[in-house]
Amino acid sequence: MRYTNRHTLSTPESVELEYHLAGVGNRVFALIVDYSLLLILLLVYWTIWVLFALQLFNYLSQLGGDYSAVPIWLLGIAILGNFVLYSGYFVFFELLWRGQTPGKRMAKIRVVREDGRPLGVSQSVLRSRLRPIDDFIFLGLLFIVFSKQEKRIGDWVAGTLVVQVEPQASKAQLQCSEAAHRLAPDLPSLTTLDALSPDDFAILREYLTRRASLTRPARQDLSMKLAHQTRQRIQLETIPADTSSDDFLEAVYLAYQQVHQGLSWGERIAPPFQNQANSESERIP
Amino acid sequence: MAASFDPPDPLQPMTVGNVVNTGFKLYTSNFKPYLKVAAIATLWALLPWLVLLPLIAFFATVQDYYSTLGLLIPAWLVLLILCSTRYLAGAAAIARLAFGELTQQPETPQQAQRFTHSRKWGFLILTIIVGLIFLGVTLAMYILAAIFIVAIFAIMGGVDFLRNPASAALVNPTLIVTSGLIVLMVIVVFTLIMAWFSVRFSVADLSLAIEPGIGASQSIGRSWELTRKGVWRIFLILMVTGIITIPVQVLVQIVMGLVQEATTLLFPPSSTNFVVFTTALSVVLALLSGIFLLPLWQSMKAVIYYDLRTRREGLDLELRDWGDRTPPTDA
Repeated sequence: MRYTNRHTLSTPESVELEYHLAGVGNRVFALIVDYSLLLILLLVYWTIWVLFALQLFNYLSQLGGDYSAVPIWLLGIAILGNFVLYSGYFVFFELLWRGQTPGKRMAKIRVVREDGRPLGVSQSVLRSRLRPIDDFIFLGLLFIVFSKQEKRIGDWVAGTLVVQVEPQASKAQLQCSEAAHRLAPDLPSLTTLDALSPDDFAILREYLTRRASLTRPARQDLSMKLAHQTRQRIQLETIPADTSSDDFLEAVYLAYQQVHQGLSWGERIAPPFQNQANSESERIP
Repeated sequence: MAASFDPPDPLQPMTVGNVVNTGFKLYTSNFKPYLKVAAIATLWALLPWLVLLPLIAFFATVQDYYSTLGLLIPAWLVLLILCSTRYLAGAAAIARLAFGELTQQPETPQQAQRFTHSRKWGFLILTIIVGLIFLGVTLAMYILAAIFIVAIFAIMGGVDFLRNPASAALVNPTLIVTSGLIVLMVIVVFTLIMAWFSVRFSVADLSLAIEPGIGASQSIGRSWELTRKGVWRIFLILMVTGIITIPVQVLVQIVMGLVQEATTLLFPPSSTNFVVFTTALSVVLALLSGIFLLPLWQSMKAVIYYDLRTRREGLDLELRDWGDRTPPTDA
């Protein structure tokens, strides 16, 4: 089962682009963040305005004369400012950050035009103008849930989609142990490293990246399990002594990466290790 | 853009929004089977109260045979407990079904119910333990809040005020505002602490519904351990889900209002008939919305539990054995 709706569009160059639609969860999450920020913004705005108005009344009363029309004007201007903040918030950020607001940034989603181009002023303003209608008895929410393209009324009118932002692949190099670096150069010749599929490699990389956030018992179990599976997959008879399961996985990771990036090894440091495998405690069953 | 990227389908820790999306998708694509299990479970929960009504009516009209109460009350309590276990096992079965779907080991509703039913006493004990813990936490919080507020009151010259209430003018208005803010702050802190505890116990029933060889108290420990990190992330997920359910509640309110208006045409608003009818209606609507929302919350909790197992225990990290088949490229 697919857990996100998709939207495919063909460009004039016959290239198919597939978008993952944001989904109701991301959109509600973004809205909570944006409305919280907007609420704080408006509270600050009204506080400043009230303080300003009080000072002004104070000043005017010292001058004397008839200023009875002033409060209604002040209120009028305040409401206008409120309106500008409410609709300007979304337009400002969506234009500044190419379809993203602070909430959408947190939820990792973005507004784009139906043809995939970044949205312009008119789309952003239209979406923002129709927002009150979408908010009324949660109409927009119902529209998002029940339409295939997850469009609220503002999206229909402006011709926009809300899609997920492609996550940045983490470029950070994994920290690998000394033992792993020693073992890695020997693995291509000792094992059938090719038996490891890109999927398997992705799993190993996932584990190595995420291991720090695992609970201790889970991490131990998982490390052993993965090392065992990997050893079978690449047909390695025994894992060398003084090599923990994590070291071994790191070594496989390094070796695979080197082989597939076609990099040269430089000097081979460690001797073949099969003869060294004498410590039972370090063996992985 | 986004051409090669596949967010929650390959197994990876999910964002808040994608957890909700996944839970919602599970709910909508399994709507009928989940709803059926939820409806049966809710009817079990209703049964003792349906039995109670004629009993009350009987004693109210006959006003005799009170000696049978000694037998009837324990019997009714036993019925209540039995029916509660039925309800809890049914609710847990929905979560188990949703989790099975996520791990691509789907079960039929019958299989899931058979499993959770075999642990029905576990669910009852779990609910009682968690309930008692919450009772304890709430009491402790009330006592602490009371001590705190009294202390603030005393510091701010509340004692003088009590001795001489007429001297209200003596009390500094900024002090009144400050104490108001402090009371507000206490309420917010209270709510946050309760939310924190709710999150920490939120997946206990999932552990019991899914993990082999585990009892009520261990599953509470599991929930505590799994939710150690990222409490507020889970809180956000639950909050977003809560907002998604608002339209359903709005709908219920609208129907309630309409029917109440219609009822005034049939019975005068002060009559007993009116009261009975509208009360019965609100009970029915509450049950209906409960039946519709239970599967959504259970699916959502299943995704939260799945995501926690992924994050904290690497549930998704396993070299897959495709055998002779090629890995599926598309679901």
